[in-house]
Amino acid sequence: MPTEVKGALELRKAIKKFSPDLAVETRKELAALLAPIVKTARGFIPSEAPISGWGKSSSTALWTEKNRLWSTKAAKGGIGYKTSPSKPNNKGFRSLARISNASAAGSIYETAGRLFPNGREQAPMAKVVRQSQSNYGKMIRSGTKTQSKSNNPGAGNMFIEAIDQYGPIVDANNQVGAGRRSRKMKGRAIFRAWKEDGGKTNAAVIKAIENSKIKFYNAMGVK
Amino acid sequence: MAVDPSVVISIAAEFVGKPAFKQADTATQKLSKGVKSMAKTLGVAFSATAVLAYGKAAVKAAAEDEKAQKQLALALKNVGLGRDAASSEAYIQKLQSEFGIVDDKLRPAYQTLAVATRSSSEAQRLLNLALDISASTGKDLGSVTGALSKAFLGNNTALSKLGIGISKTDLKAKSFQEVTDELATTFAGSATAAANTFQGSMDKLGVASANVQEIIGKGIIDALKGLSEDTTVDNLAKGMEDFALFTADAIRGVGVLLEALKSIPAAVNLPGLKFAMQATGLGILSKIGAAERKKQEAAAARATNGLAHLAELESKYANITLKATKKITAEELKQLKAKQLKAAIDKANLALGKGENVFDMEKIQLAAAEKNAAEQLGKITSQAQLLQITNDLARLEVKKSILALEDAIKTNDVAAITRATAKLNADLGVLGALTGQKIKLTEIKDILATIVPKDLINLGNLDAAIARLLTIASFGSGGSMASHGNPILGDPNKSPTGIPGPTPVQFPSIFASGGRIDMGGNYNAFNPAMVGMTSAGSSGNAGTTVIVNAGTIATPDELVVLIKTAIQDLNRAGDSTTFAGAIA
Repeated sequence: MPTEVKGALELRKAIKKFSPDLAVETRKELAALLAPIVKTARGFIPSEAPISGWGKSSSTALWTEKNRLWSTKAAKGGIGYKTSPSKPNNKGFRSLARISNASAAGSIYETAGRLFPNGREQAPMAKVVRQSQSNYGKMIRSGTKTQSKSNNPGAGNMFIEAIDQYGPIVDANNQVGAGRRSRKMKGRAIFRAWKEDGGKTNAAVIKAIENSKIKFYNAMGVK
Repeated sequence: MAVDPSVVISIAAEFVGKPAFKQADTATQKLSKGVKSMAKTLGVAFSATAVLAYGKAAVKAAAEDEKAQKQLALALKNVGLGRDAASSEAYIQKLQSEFGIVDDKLRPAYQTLAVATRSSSEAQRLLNLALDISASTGKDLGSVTGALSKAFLGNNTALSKLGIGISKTDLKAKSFQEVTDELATTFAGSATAAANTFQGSMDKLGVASANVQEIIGKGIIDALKGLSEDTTVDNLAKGMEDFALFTADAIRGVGVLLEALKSIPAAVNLPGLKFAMQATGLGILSKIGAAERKKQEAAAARATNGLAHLAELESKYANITLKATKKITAEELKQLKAKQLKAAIDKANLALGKGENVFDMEKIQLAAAEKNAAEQLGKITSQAQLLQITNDLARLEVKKSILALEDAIKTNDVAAITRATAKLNADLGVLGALTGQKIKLTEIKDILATIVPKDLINLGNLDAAIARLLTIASFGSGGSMASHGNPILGDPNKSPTGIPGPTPVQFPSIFASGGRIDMGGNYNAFNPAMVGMTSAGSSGNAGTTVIVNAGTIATPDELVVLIKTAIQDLNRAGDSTTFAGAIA
């Protein structure tokens, strides 16, 4: 009975079901293609905290959340790849393979200044009027998430400038033609590595999937 | 680790569609399917192959429906709800038409709940609730009924995982009834609302289509069975094919007929068409079929009523049997309780016997006395003490033997009485020998070995004690100074060099007569006044009688002690007539 495969995801499923050896082979082939990108991206992570206070866990530290404290090891370890299909995103797309920067500190380093290159504007002061609030009656900085709550109006800018010393934000989007470009392909580590790769890995991944399709068809006797 | 999608490079991404698109697609597919089924049912697709395929599917659907009905009836019967089978089937049919859910889904759900609750009313209440929850949450009916049935039996895990607004605390704190009441309030009317939507209407059409299929399939089966009188599958299939060809031909004929009727203006309207159809052979066949269907329905109704009556009778019989079984079980329980009581009494008696042994004062006293004697045995310092302890132990042994004989007499066991008597005689013999003090020390050892508990005898110490006693005994029975080796002062028959007075050989006789030797070595005759004694006759070798004025009458032992004390005091401190150490 001839096997008909629709789409890359169905192909992956079919390969996994009917030819597990080929599935393992494909996964290894994809891993071999993505590993160099990951290695390069890890090389863009600074060996020390870009700002001295970032790595301190005292009360005067940059962030009180422990997972946000700078750790070179965690930031490098958070960069990785996966060769299994993802869940659909809110636009209805699923990826067959992906490179991610998963650690909190690494993500901050990757994306700081991507939306606001000069830092967010300072939020205005406002009086707390809700009695249930602990700081009822006091004046605090209150604004939206696009506004900075810091009393230092240049805090965001200083932070971004300090990080830029270690690596600039690179736009890895190679889309051409009309239309708005997404800022979500900009970054300092994985996106920079992806940009430097110049699309070779992307083409190789698609080629590898095509090859697996051909091998699978041959194995199933489909012409 | 959750990954922020903004720091991910997606490679070879593929659009798989959004959930809303999928839902719309599914709805469209269902609609298309429903319409196709309806079209087939209504006979729009009249090709011979389609008719044949539809006929097969209809037969299959009818067979499956019948099987599902029987399975549900059996399940209900097994849980004691056999009499409710007909009403349950009617209830499922009502739900099917009301909510547009096929009976193939409703029957397993109802069965699950009925088996769990063992109550038709409770199963129906929970099924209504499950339909509401399923319609509101989008969960399939099987999952919801499964969770409810588990929750009814006390397992709330599945219910909490449904995500229907019931917290774990509520599940723990509230009863099942309270939880379901709350859910009924929360999801009230969801199933009805869903049924009234467009999708619900399409579902109803789908259900109607499926029902039509089943009804037609049942009709085909009945007709073919009636024609061939053969129920084998092969023959049935052949019959179906023949029937399909016949039907197709007939329908073709209808087509021709309709074409012909079109040429008649008065017959174009439907009533006219119906009239024309009734006038044909097909109409006659339809009439015959309708009559047969009604006949079968009446028979089925009778059978249903009969079955219901039978189920009622079975239920009554089951109740009677259950009561009888319970009665028998009660008798068995009574017997079992009596047996348990007897076993408990036996155990209690056994424990009491052990208690009697524990509190047998005679035995306790004997054991204590034996232990005490054994302890004393290790502390003996004289032959008299050894004999006394041996006597005590022998008496204890005699007492034990007497008790053993009494016990043996109580049991009427001749052999035991004989043994106990022989033992008592032997013990009495030993005691008599000890009392007469005619026994040798070596024999005492043997006696002790037989009557003292082995674990209380230190044989090493006993041997050492016996050896010492033997030495003492030999020393006091006629030994002479000369026999103990060389004298300290040289020749015992001569006075020590340079010291005047009697020779050492003469000392015993001097002391025996109460004489003394002064510092110069001269002999002084005994003066009773010096030691507080009064001469009242002979003593020792001199043949005098010594009377001790101790102010009271003393026993020989006390007298010995007094003399010893006096001699020791004199030896230590001396007195007005002699010096300390003079009689050493």
